[in-house]
Amino acid sequence: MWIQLLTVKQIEEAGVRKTYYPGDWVDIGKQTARQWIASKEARTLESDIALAATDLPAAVEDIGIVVTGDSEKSRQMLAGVDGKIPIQYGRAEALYPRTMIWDPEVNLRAELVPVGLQLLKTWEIAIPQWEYSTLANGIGTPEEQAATEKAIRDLRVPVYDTRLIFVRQCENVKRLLDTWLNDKETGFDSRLAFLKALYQVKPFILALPCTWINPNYGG
Amino acid sequence: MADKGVVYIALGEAAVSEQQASLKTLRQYHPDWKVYTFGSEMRIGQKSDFIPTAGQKEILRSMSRGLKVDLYNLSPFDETLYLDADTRVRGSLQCGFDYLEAGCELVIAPSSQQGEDWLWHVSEEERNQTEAEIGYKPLQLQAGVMWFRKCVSIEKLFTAWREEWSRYKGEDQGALLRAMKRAPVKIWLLSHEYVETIIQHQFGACRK
Repeated sequence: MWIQLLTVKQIEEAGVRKTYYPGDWVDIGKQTARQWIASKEARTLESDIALAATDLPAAVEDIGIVVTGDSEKSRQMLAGVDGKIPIQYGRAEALYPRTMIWDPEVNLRAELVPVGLQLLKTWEIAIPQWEYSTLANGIGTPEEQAATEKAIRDLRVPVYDTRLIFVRQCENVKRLLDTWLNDKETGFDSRLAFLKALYQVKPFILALPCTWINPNYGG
Repeated sequence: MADKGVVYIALGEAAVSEQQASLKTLRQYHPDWKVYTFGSEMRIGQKSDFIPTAGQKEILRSMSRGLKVDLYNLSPFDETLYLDADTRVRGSLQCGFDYLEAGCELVIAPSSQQGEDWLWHVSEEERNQTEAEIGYKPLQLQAGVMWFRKCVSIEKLFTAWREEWSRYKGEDQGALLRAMKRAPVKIWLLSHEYVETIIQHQFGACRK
């Protein structure tokens, strides 16, 4: 069973002890998982996303999750949520009035999911920054950089982590996602493609701290 | 073409001195830009015979922040570059105006103070309350250098900023984060590293 750790744990895998840190997701036996959840050393995704429903009693039906990538891990992690909150697997789209688009390649800080969905009452998009030390001029191929610089004027700008995006269903977001994906699906660097789309559409976007992806990132 | 210019706020002898030094560096790159300085006429006494007390300095500083959150109404320009008085210009600042002309409403950079240093300069009460109200520690912004244009969204942001600032007075950054919870704007983020290459900040110089 997949759980998210709240404390440091050493877990034996194939005879080797490996250290996991708060925020990491691990797949362990149900009995151990239940013990750790009971002692608040871990939690499931279900309980936290359920908070979104609790916090938003009048509008539960307007939120949903789109999982890009169809990994077994994400299906298991979301198993408890399925049926309570709509989940779709596939292309990044604003399928619901307030949608969380999540690539299971990155850990999900479940406690922030309700917060992110709430932000969409004010903003059209909320998305974490990539690590602060990384700028657009430090990623992608020379060709991608040249195309991006031509589109956004200057590459000395922060980049966004496109693996977790909270979006409101609106025209600006539709244009942004379409523009971004059309570029990305040609093989263009996802983060640079997002900047190009952002500059073109200029939605109401809120940059979230990079700690939304990894609480251990330096500030 | 939009009327654009630079706005400074300089209250007190130290701030006026800093603003003049900043203006001198601005002129090296932008000799023709319009500049408006609020407060430079409000000198308290003469440098030679008036030394403000710590309490008076704090009042001036708070007044300065109070003016800053009213910049939308105070600035005579359609497109404004606000610079703290203790900045030194080290390169062209045209980029921000270019982004405004392209449709962005606010051009600003994140602060270097994130994580454990987040809002370190405001009171513990304001810091805790800001995090509690927003629900997380939002990205701290460096509001000592920012470009904005007059439009409905920015007017709403400044209105919210003034209201939030009025709760604690003092510093303005926590108030800006709380205001952004209420009033979204079309932001283009510059990097902290880039802004540091074009603007050097002499933090604390106005408090001397």
